[in-house]
Amino acid sequence: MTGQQERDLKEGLRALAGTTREMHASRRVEDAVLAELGRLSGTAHGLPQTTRATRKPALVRLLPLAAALVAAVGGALWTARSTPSPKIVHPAGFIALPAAAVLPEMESANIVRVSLPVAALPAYGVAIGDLKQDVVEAELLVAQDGQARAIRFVSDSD
Amino acid sequence: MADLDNVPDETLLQLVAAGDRNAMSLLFRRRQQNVYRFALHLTGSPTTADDVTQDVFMAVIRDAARFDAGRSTVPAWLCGIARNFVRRRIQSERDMDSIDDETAETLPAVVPDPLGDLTQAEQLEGLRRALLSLPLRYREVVVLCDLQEMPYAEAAGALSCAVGTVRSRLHRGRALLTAKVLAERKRQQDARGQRTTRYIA
Repeated sequence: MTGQQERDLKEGLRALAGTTREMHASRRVEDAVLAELGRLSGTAHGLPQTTRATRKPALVRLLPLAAALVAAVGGALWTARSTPSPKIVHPAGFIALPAAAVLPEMESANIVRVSLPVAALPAYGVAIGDLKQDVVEAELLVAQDGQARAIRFVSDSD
Repeated sequence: MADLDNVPDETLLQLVAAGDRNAMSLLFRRRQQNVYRFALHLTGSPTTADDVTQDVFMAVIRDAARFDAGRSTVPAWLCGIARNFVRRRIQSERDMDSIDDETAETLPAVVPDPLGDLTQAEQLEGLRRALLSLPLRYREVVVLCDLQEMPYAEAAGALSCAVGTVRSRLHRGRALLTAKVLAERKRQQDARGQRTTRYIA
């Protein structure tokens, strides 16, 4: 690229930027955001933590992670644009956590298995149908920064 | 609300984390345009830009407490979130292809032809199309640094990469953009030439 080409390109890009200088999100976006905030006012921000002990001692260190997961799953309720019905989660496949959107891009990840109380899940927009046990096994996709990006629920046969 | 007008973004985010509706409203009005224009230039779709803007601020409501002023500015953080949502959308649309596929984007040899006046309406539309056809990793940095005039360090925060990476991607992105504009112009000239030939014949 020559110097003249670079100058021409920058001039063109400035002009292109100028075509959108007055553009902004539509009113419906602000209405939706503020309605969501209004809906949540009065809702406790603190979410119950996962306190159920895990089977493997090494996972004790992951309890904060599990708590973060519960909080993140809870966010699913907040992001839904209409009143959500609880999703039935299929065992196969990871589901992106809403909170992952604000985290840096995942470069590498480890899969970590944790135990979560079933009773806590429906309140946060995720339900697993017809289960009798109190605790479900789940696998977290934990990125290079130690933050969970996605979850999948696993059955005993997995 | 008047009391909040001079409050910095970082403080507004703290108030949002505590559930302050006025702070959220002010933050939205102050910063939604940054997010919307970023998404619009990345996707070319006003509807998608609207959706991404909504997704971003919903995420802010949920995760305002996660903002780390030591790592980025608020506009850069918001654009970083928008980038993640845009990538998700593009990824789900393409499914099978990598959104950073560079294999088809080898740089052609430099052709010293001038780009001419790209500010003319027709040329501007060609430039917009060329920008949208850039691989996303280059498009992001060109939009942030050249269109939104974000400093390199802030862009690095938004893109979760080093400043050096921003510089190198910007250099390559501009070179690709130049090549695409020249190629498009040649196609148009060839097409005009063929029409003229047919007319004469």
